[in-house]
Amino acid sequence: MYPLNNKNISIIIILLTFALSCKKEDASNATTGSLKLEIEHLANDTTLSLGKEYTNPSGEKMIFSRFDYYISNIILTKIDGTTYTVPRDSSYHLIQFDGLANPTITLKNVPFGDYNKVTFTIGVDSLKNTEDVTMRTGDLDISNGMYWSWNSGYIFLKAEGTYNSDTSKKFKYHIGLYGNSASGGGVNNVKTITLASASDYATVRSNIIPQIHLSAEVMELFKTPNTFSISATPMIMASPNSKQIADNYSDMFTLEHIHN
Amino acid sequence: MKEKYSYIFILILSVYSCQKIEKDPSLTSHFPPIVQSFRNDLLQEVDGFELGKKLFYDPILSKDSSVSCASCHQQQYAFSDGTKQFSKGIFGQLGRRNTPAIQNLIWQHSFFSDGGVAHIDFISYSPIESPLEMNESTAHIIQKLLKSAKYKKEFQKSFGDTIINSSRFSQVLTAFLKEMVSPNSKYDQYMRGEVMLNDQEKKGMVLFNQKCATCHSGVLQSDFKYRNNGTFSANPMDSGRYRISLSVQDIYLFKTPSLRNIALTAPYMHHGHLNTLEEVLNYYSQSVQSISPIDPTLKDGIILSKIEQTQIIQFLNTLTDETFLNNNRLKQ
Repeated sequence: MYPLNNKNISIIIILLTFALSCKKEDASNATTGSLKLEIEHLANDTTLSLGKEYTNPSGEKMIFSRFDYYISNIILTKIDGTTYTVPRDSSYHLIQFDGLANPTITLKNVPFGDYNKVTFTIGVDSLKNTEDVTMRTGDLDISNGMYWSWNSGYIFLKAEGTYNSDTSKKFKYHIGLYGNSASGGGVNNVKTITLASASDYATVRSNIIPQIHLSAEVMELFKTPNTFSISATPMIMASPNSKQIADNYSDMFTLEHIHN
Repeated sequence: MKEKYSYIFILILSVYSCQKIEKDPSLTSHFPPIVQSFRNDLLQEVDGFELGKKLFYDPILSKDSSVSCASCHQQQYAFSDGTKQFSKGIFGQLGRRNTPAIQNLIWQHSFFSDGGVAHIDFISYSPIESPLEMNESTAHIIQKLLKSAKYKKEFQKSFGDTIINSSRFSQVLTAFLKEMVSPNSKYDQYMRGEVMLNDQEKKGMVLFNQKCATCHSGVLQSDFKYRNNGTFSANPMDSGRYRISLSVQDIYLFKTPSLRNIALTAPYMHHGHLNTLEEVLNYYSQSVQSISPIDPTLKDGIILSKIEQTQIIQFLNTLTDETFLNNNRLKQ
């Protein structure tokens, strides 16, 4: 009925080619991958340990018992200047230092490319601070202990401990405030910073998940631009002087290196 | 024949009284626009009214399970704490401000006398986490609820699964709180053209509009703005709105409250130091002039004769809403 002549063979070959090419799962159509941000916490250039005594820039002996903070609104910039903004629903991360493995944030769906800058907010922006309660889940859950119930808003950074080698002398710095004030006098401690690598870049590829290694020097809480004494002010919560600490810690991060 | 009509009339009446009065929009048609907004801008909430009510009346929300929301928010006093200046929280501690009423929340833009909370979903965390009130952490409450077979079942009913977190906790409490609506005082019925005010009440209303409505304006008797009415002098340690905004012009400013059910919510002011409405009107008439700093509109006081005070109080009594105070649906 259907002789295997040249015409028919050609038709079969053409049909087979279509069939085979349509079946192929095209892995090379992927255009996004992952990138990791790893944060190492330092105290005076050495690895931070909770419970260990250090001397702060004001010459005071002190011990950290807690160092927690939010990182959010992450933007990656390629060497050509174009950017990738991490979607809001995956851009809020609560870092709770525990002295175990370095906290690592894995960003997914990052477009392939070469990235040499990372921008992020220390804390939680004003929009998120006023969003519906159904958005307050995961790291943004009210029950994480990083929220002021009496003055609706997130605590951006919580540093607690003792000082003067005296376990009864406690310090507590709960830094928040996103500029919400009807009279416009509100303190705004939301800090956005950009870290750039001078020569390296992170290559996001289908087979490469680069790591951008950051460090956070916790002693920056106490200096530049404000030399801060714990014994003078051991407690700061929702008050105007929280600005001093926020201004200080906005330069606590450094982009150390990049692994590809 | 007449009997038949009586039966029909009684039937209609009983149907009407079974209606959820707090949900009947025709009763609040004279209210200002609703201020609070919700998920997707709809007031249709998760079906959490009954669960929210259970939580409201359950002392499990406090650290030692001794204090519930209802301990200090009693329905017969429009969900304020009756005659107490300060409420007793956990371990017998006294609070620092007079407990406010809970009513008509969705028509308000902020909560607490310093406006520290702007959305109804976030109200409950403040008394829950206050060391003087319930002294509990949100995380621990969630743990307690997850250990309760009863609550797991309730959350399953409302959400379709047994996940319990702070977001869902907020949503079901809101589902209950938002229905604490008081729309049926004599004043409301008058505004809807259903009843007449008597002579004294009418005179009181006219005086009220002249002398009080600069601040206590509109159908809810407040513009909810923050003002210094001099009552900081009862406790100068309490800086009011300043504590929230950190704006120096906000020192000693407190939110102007609604006056609904005011006859039931004594004692008065954020510090609860004025015990009767007479004392309040005397304060405005005779004491406020000697206090500084003070809101400019009050520096000469609000001079009222005894008769005028009596008439204003007659009007304020028309703000009492028996339907709200006795609403069975809000009872435990």
